[in-house]
Amino acid sequence: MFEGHPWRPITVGKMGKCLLSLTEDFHTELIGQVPSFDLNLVEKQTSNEKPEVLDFATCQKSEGVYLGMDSHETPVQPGDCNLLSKHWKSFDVALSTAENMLKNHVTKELKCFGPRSGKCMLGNPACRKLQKLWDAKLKFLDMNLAGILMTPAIAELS
Amino acid sequence: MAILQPLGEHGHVIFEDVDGKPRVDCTMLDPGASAFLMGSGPFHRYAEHLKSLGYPIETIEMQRTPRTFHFGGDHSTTSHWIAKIPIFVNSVMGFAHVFIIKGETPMLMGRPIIEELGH
Repeated sequence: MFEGHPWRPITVGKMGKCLLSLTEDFHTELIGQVPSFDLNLVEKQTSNEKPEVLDFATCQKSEGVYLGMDSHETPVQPGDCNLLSKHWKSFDVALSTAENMLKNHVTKELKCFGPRSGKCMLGNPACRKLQKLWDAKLKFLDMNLAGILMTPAIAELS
Repeated sequence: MAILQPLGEHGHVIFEDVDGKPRVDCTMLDPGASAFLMGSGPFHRYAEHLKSLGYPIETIEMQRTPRTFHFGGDHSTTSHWIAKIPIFVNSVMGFAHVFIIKGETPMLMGRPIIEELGH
């Protein structure tokens, strides 16, 4: 016994890694009960920046643009082109590539201006400020993209 | 851990136990990680597993986030979603916030969550 619980065998992966089953003690009667823990590593938001809580279906609908199959039921008018999921995938890859290029550029510039002491420039307060600005820019881009994805015309794709 | 290549064009990394049984409900304990994260593939398979057990997956709470994770070799990826997933361990139920990243990254439970679970 350890702290009131009996020892039990662990789940070992095929390659010898220790695995933890997240539903090992699942019982239907536990559903709806007051949760015993709520583990949150997400940074605390400021009071005027409350995160919007969405449901699983909304997430699936949004991600379905990338994962789902295209419907070919919509007739294409002459001169028009249906927006297919592969277009969104290409757009997403292009956006990620652009993000990485910008990030690499910022990192390279920071290293160029840094002292040649061998210390990591990204640990400096000035660089942390730049990093915050950069994160804010990414957040802005992300929210705008999210807004585009949630428009009815795009939602219909999923 | 074994790499399987089932249906579709993507390679899926699915944990298997010593008997070779796929375990979509399992996470790997990763003391080197600072967060709890998983790819969208393993997340949806875990949700399907919960559904098969009778858990109402429509009640899973989601939040948008622009959190970037850095891996070795200058590789980084951005998480766009945080999911509050149910966990059933030690005969109790609780929740953990997990970052969802694109792709098939397996469930990785970082040290802070492991430590909290151990309390």
